[in-house]
Amino acid sequence: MKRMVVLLAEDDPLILLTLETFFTKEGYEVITAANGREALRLFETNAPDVIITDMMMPFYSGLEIIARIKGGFIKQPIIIVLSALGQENSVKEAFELGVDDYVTKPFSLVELSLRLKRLINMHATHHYSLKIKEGA
Amino acid sequence: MISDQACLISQKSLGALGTLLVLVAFFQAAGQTAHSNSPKGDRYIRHVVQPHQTYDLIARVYGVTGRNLAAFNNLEYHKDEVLAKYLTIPVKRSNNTVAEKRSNDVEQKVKGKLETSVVFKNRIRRTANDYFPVSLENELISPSGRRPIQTSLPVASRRDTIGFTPLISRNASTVSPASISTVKQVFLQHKQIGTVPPSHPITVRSVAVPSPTNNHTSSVISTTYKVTTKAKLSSSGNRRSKPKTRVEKVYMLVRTQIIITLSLVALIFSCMVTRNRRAIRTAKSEQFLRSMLIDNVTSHPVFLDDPSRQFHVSELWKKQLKKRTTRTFIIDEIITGRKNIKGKIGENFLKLYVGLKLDEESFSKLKSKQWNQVAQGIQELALMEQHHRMSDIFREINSKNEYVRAEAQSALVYLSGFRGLWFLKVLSHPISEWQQMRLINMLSSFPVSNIPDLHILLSSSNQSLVIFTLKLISAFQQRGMHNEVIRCLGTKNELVNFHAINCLKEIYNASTAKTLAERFPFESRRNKFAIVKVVGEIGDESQIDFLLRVLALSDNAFKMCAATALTGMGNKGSYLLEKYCNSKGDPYSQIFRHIKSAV
Repeated sequence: MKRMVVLLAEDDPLILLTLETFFTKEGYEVITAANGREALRLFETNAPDVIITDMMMPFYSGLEIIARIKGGFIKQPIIIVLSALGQENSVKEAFELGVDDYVTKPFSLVELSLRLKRLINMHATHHYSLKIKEGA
Repeated sequence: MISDQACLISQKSLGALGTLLVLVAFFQAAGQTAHSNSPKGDRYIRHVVQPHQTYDLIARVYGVTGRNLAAFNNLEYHKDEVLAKYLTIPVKRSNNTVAEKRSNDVEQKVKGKLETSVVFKNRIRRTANDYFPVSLENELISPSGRRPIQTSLPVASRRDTIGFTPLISRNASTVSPASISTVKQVFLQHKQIGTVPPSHPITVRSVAVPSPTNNHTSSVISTTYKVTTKAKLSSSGNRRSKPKTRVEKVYMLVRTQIIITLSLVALIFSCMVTRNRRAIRTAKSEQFLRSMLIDNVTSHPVFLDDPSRQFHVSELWKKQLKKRTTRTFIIDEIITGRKNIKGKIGENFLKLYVGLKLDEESFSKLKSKQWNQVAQGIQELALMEQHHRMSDIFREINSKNEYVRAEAQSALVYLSGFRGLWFLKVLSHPISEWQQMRLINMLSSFPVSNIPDLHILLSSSNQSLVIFTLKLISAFQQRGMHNEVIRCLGTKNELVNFHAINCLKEIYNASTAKTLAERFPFESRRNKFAIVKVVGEIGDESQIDFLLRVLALSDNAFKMCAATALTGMGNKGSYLLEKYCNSKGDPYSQIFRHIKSAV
């Protein structure tokens, strides 16, 4: 079975490494980006199934990445935003752009993993129902 | 990322190298031009004419005839004293470079000294094929220091030279009298030919001579005679330096510039390379440490299986933690992890911090003499929740340094919440506005409870502490402190009264507005405005009369404030305001229109 590809975009190397180690152990294929520009480049070349991105990053912020992905690509991945900004405005802006989930720092890795699994299941169900409709 | 950095730095290095090459090419070209123009290779020996010297005398010294010498200098030959200052000897200087060099050395030694030594140097040249005649080349500085003498003194025979050389020891302290007398003889010869004035007294101080080899195979044997003179140099300006042509000066300047530029470029380049290498090495080291850290936190058996087991520091960790910079880096990373990640992994960061005994490292910073170290240590202990270090942190509450005090206060609040505020009772320094906001912000994350001993703090002589207490009462609505706050209104301190009035807005009861209205005549202008605003917000219809009285004051600002307060008191307030304004005409009607448009 093909492993799901997760793109992690985070400017803090420790958090990035922690996420990478954790999700690799969880069975995902992980690719990492230390800034927004690298994240976009990796998205174009690897077409990941999931993007977990920080909000504040060099070159492009998390919201800019989401806006570009949502506006310019056919394949739409699951997007989870990690942010220290827990303000209502930030959360609202992110959801308006089309993120699937918003997790504030400090976050629990286990909780993040559970949220991701739930989103993957939801997407799978959604795609399955679409196929059935197309078949009918 | 590292490769990006390396690439960037190497690009910079190449750029610098290119600049270097351009500079080198330019200066080489300049140097070559200067060098090719230099006539140094074609220069003849220049003789400085001494008093009483004739053409024959000078010519004999250089092994030429007097007539030839005069003709070479475009002068008429005669047997009297030569009047010219300098004579060019028809002997190429390239054959006499050693003598020239010696002359420069002598000039250096003479420079700037009032009482100096005349260095008298002999150089005996011997070759295997051409052993005779042995020539003795001397370079002398005249006692007056005015005219450097460069001449060659022929020695009569091999026996004379060989005869005195072995008598002279290398060690100046063991010079035999015979050798000294020989040196004196040589000087006397000079006096005879006029290179040293006859009246000049000469005494030998020391002689330092490398002993010649017995088989005479060495090509050059250097002998130095150091002779003290009593002559004094009037000033260094009297010494006549060797004249240099313009081309020579340019050549020297360009050569110096090339050397300096190349040295600077080389220095910059080496610094860049060193910095680049260091950055790459540091990045690799940090990456390795981070991996170690994450491996421990996510998959160490102690953290995964049995939390009660003791964490043993491995040899690898011990090796890494020997360096202070590494310890600091690990502490910073652990704090980052602890701040951003919660749950089990977050707890593991904390366990690793204690397991690696980094809490001791943080604690040791508290003993530092540098305030920033102390502040950092406090912050680390607080963020890593080292509750057992609270007493040590508490000692810094009244530190001389305001940043250390602020960190200690924040740490206590971070660790204990509202209970941590007990430091306020012993605080002897003022709390800054920023620190007050910071503490209140930190406290807002804790569940609100009754803050103890607030009444004691309100009676403190520390004004900033009283104001902070009033802010605490206001922010966390400590309604039980209402009467104590009312008592604060009686103080003479305007600022305390101002904060008390604003505090009452948050913890008011039925009597508050009336009390504030009664205080109105006794307060300052600023506090009067505050009272009117607060009464407008918390008052009921019973305070309308008070506000109408304020509206009647002559000060238009008070009129505006009271009118605004009246509109905040419901329909009755607005109705009475309109009625009052219409009955009084301007400026009340204007005020009313203004407030109505704003509403």
